[in-house]
Amino acid sequence: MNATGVARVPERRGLAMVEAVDDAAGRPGRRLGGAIFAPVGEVEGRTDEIVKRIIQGISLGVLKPGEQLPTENELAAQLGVATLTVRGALAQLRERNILETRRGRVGGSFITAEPAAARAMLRERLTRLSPLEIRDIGDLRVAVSTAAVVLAARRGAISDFDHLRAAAAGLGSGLGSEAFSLAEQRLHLEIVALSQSPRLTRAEVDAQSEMSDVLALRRLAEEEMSRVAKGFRELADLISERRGLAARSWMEEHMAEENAGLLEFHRLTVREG
Amino acid sequence: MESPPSVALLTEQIGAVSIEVGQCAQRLSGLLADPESIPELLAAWSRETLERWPDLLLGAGAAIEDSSRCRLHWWQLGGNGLDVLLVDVDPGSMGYYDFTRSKWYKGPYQSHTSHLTGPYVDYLGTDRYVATMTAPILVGDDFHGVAGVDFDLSKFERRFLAASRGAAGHLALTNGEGRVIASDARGLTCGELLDDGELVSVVPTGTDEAWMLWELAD
Repeated sequence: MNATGVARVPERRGLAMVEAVDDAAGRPGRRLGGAIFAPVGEVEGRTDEIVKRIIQGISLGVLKPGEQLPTENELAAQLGVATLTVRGALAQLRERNILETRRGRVGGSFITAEPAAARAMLRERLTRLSPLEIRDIGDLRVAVSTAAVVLAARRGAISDFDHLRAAAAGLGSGLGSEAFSLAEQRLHLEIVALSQSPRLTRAEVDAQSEMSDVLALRRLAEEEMSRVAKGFRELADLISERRGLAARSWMEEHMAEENAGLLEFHRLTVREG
Repeated sequence: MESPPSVALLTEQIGAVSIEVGQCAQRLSGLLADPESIPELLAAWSRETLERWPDLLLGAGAAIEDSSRCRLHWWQLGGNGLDVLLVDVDPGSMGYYDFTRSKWYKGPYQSHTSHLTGPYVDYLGTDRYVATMTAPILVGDDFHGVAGVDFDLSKFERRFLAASRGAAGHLALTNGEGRVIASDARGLTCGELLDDGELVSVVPTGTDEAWMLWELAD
């Protein structure tokens, strides 16, 4: 916090954060847990964002039951928000029995929720999204990704293609659903970035972040993973052969399937309540 | 065609930046025994370097290995001085940036020489269109990380267009793979691949990759 007590809000650039430093050494703040405790960028809904990150962290097993969180002041400094915002988020998490606060010399906030409980909470959050919101993000991703593959096939260099083919080859059902989902999203983003367009890439990054709850929860069957992995290998070949239009058709079909799958997953989650 | 003097002046600056980056890496290798001193020295170096070439560079810093970990110390010059770049180091996150697998890190690691990466969309780091120059931090034959700078390619394009203004023909500067870094030719912008042209000169960048200056038919 600065002298006026107003928290510094770091500027969000893509997936990284740029934070002003006032220390003469230009030293970044102490960071403990990677993205979960990386600075919160948006001005709106900062409390929600902190709650979401901690719940996602528990659901992924990065934050474990019994683990102690940094102090309110430490968290505020790391996240680039006011202590009051952190206090609000911790209060919400306490209310939902995700953590407990112990007083005294060995006091602090400790994680109490199991990964399964955190997943249940993510499901609850997911049901608050409307199908229209999911479809709309999906529509944007279709537009961005189909345009991007055409450009990728035109502008990609040979070394990019070698890398792309290797990354596609690494995508396999052996990864398990969660890791597969992450790897697929990363590969997708890598392909969009081959367009050499920072704006298209940023649009895909933003759309993926908005979908992060759905993507974190969705479970893929083994056959589905194999099929998608095989598809991406074909796509990597199409792009490497500079067949932009064929790559575009592939992407259009793939995204239509993915969006339908996400909508159906949302529909079932809402129905199950 | 000879390369116009103003363009030559611009390309010579790339060599000067490379010398600076190499010297920084060398200084860092002498400081590895005293890791506490590194952030302060690096921040000062980044500020000086960014202020020396404000119309070419976007960021500067280093990635240093310390036992099994690798830390990124990277800064950009903002309105109020240095801004630190924080990247996502959580492997379970979508934005996870394992920069030790990126070309700008692996290049110097494999070759033990300075390396030039890009142009590329740096969506995991600065979120800008950049080229990154990195030099290995070596102690004898042991690799301990890299020091480097990001070229801001929008700035670079503006400099190039100003420099090539008096040239007789149309020019394009590309990386070793033919990706355009800057060009004043019709329909050819930064990021495209050049398919035809006459080589004017090879630009020594002080790294394992030379950039090339081409003359294009109208």
